[in-house]
Amino acid sequence: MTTLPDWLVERAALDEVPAAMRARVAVAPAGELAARIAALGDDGERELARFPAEPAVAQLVARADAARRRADAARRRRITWLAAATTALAALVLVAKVSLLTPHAVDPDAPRTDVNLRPPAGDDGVRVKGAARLVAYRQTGGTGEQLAADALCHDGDVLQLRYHPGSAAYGVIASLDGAGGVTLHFPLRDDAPPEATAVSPRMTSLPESYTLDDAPRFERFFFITSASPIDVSAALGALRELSHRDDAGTAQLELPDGQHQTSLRLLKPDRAP
Amino acid sequence: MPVDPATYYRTYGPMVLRRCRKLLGDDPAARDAMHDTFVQVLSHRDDLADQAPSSLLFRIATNVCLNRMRARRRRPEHELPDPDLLSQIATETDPANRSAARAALDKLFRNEPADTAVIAVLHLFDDMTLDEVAAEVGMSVGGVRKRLDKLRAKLRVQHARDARDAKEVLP
Repeated sequence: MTTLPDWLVERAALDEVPAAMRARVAVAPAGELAARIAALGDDGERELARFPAEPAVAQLVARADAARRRADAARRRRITWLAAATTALAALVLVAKVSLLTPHAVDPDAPRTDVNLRPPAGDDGVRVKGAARLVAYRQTGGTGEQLAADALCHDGDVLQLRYHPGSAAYGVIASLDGAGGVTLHFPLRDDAPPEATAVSPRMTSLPESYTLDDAPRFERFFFITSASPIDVSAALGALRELSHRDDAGTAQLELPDGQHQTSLRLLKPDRAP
Repeated sequence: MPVDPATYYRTYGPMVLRRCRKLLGDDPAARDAMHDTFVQVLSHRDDLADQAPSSLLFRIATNVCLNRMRARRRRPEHELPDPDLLSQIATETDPANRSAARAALDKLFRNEPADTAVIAVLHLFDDMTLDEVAAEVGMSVGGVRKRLDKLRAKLRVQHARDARDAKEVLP
């Protein structure tokens, strides 16, 4: 009996077997494969005789068109919101500049008000105007607990990362663990083109959470940012270089000019970096 | 080149229906899922390349079925064909809200890497090799392996939690 799985027989029946899978089809017993393909053809004919395509397609096209109209309307609302937010931000920047240029008395005892603008304590990144921020939340039950720098974490903890790129337009997020392992979190593929490092201009969650493994000592997340597209392989190379160093838990990445970094280190129990 | 909906449906509808039946196990739900799959595809029909779309349809159908399983999990009226494996994958990769689920579907149309859920079903349920999964979803084998490792770690945590809960229930 042929060992071809159903999905591959379906592809063979449609003559759409991908190149990577053709060898598997080629060695399958031809007679049995032909019989299974014929059975699929019969099944399809029975299905279309029982439920003819035309009325179903008319309904599906109407639903698809309605879905498209909803998506277009949502996109227009987002663009309107973005334009309003950009205008408000520009006004805010203008006011801030005017304020900075205007001499005024400073009360040394006045409380600082930069709590929400300051990156997490212990953040060892290079500060630039409109500094990037990287925040980690630990999923506990249905809620998320924000983790400070050097917070204690454990094998199996599920983390959700959020970033704000500051004034940067491009970014790469990757982590280095105490065993020297390097993991890319954004973009999703290590062979992604530099243009794929474009980031959202506002606070954004990564699409997937990340589960800590049993690597010892620490997990250190890096957010590399730039005004121009970033070579993902080179960025990962910088992390791998750092992973060989004794001070991998504290040292900065060696990055090209124009790239900046911020990092967030989490500690594993009973082990110092 | 825009696709012709009727030709698409006649050519790929039966394949999509069989895929949905295999994942969902019951015919009415599978038929609904097949229609949802075609709505997704037809709403992007101007952007589709009219060549070898069975792979895209297969992944979208898988994604649609996983979303249905997640919704059904709260009101389990029917058994899944492989409740342990499929429901665990659906649970552990649950995007938790509709917009995230929507984003996962949209990624398939932008040729971005498939969600871990789809990758896991292809490898663990459909028995695709890592090479085949990588070719199917347009990722590197290393990328696929990393996604699966992460999911396995989540499943290990869930198993440990289940075992601990079972211990607490047993006398």
